[in-house]
Amino acid sequence: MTDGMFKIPMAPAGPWNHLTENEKAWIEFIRLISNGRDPGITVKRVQALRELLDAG
Amino acid sequence: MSNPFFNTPAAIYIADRVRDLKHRKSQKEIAHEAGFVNANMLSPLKSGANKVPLDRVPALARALEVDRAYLMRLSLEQSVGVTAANAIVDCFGTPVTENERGWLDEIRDASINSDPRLTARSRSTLRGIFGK
Repeated sequence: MTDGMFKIPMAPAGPWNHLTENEKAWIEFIRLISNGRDPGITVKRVQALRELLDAG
Repeated sequence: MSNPFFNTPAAIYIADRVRDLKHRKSQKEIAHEAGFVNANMLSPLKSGANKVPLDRVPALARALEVDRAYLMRLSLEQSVGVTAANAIVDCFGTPVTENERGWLDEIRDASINSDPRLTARSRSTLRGIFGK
């Protein structure tokens, strides 16, 4: 199902224990605020993320 | 109680997906794809009369076109309870989805691999990005 905002998760792509503790925190927070619906990557979202990280 | 798993996240998720796929797959087709002999097997899963058989999760996830790891998490909660499901996931690890791998790549690239902390400002921005 897609509603233009979210993409249903389709397949696992990597092990959890390969992530740093900070990366786990980012992913867990994304899961939490998206209700586990595994949001897809869009240009708009990436731009917003980059603005945040570029600002330090 | 006739529906002991009524309103569990797994039952709700399956019902939602069957409804979302309705325009191109019937419930019987989904049951067939998932390998259920009984074509009506999805009804008790949706209503919570039956729990999801764990050995059928991979095939059912394919038929429902969802992440099998996510469906397994929900099905485990239904079968063994939230606490035990969390313990199982803790032991074996949570697989990262392809989208999540993409987000990790973006975070690593944009931060020049500085492993940024999730700050209060980051949380606020993420809420804006994901609409909550």
